[in-house]
Amino acid sequence: MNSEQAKQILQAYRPGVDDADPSAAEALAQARRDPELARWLEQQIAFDAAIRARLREVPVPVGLKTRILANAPAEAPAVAWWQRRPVWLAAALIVLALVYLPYLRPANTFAAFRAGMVQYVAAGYQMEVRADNFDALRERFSKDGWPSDYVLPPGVKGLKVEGGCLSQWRGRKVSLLCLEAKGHDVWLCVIERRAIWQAPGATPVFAREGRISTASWTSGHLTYLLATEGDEAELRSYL
Amino acid sequence: MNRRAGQPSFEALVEQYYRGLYQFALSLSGAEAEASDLTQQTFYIWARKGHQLRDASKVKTWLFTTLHREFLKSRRRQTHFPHHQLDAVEGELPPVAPAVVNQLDADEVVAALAQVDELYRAPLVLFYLEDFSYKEIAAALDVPLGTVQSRIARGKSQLQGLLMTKKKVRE
Repeated sequence: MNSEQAKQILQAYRPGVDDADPSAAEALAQARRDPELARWLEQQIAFDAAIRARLREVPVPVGLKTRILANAPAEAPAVAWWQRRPVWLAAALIVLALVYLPYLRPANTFAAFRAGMVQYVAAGYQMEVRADNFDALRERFSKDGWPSDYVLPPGVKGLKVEGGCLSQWRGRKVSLLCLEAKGHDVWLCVIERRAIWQAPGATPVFAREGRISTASWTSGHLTYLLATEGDEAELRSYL
Repeated sequence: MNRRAGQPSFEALVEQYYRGLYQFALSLSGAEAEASDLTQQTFYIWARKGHQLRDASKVKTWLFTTLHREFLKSRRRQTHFPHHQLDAVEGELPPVAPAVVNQLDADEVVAALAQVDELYRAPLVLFYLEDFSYKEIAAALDVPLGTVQSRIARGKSQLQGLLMTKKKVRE
């Protein structure tokens, strides 16, 4: 590097700021070898210092800082937290989850409910409500807050009432009516429609769980499960 | 106004940088009112968008970049763009003695800077004002690192030429 090249670099050199720059280091080395260049550099540095000092003397208008502080944040169309898109999305997801969660849990499918209730009645249970007619049974369910506004199928109304249970399935109330027909048991389970996922429609669906035959349907806000130790034909005769 | 973790408060930011930003703006525009507007506008933009800056260490560069962009935008909007041709200072000039500069007041230095070609003015002012490294100047003005030094050198030559002329006029 000759002195002319060094000048080009040192014209933009600031002691203490640009020392780490490799080209500046080389140019400074050249200035140490060339006294004329060293004098020139000295003048440049002095000139820069004088300009810098003048610039830093530039007065700032009175009140500028106050205006910035007073106006900028207030005028800024800052988006309120409740208007931000992520907040809306999160809120929408929470609402959806709250509304649909009971239905979205695969464990609470109707199939699981049917299997659970069949297992319950087949295993034997203690008759909690002693009653010999439908009205007394409904009254007890109503009194204890269990589903009681159910509609009995025409054929069921002719069956003998043995009693009932204030049953529960996964924390949901199930009114269990225990009936008798043709020398064996018949059960009618009633649960809120919203408590289960994939509930059957209005048309009865027939299925067999072990030795128990079932018919299930939904009417209004309730889902029904009729079960018997007999066969499907027997169930059809009750509907 | 949102604030990312690690970022200083708005008040602290104004306190730290409004003076330097104003001086930068004044050196670019040469007009007090315009410099005030540019400084306020810069903080206004920060209040709206500053939270998007992920690296808190780049706040200073962000502010000076924003002010420079706003200055360029305002220049584009102006119908009559005051362009100063300074062909006369292309060659090498004798160094201006510091004593000459010391005879001038801040307003005169700012006025001279405002006549430096716009291409060189911003890097030159950042060179003097804020102890930005060449890399930071390149980032703030969005120019290649290699051109920063040459623009500073050319801007300085123009400034020296303008100050020499001023000195001759006085004599």
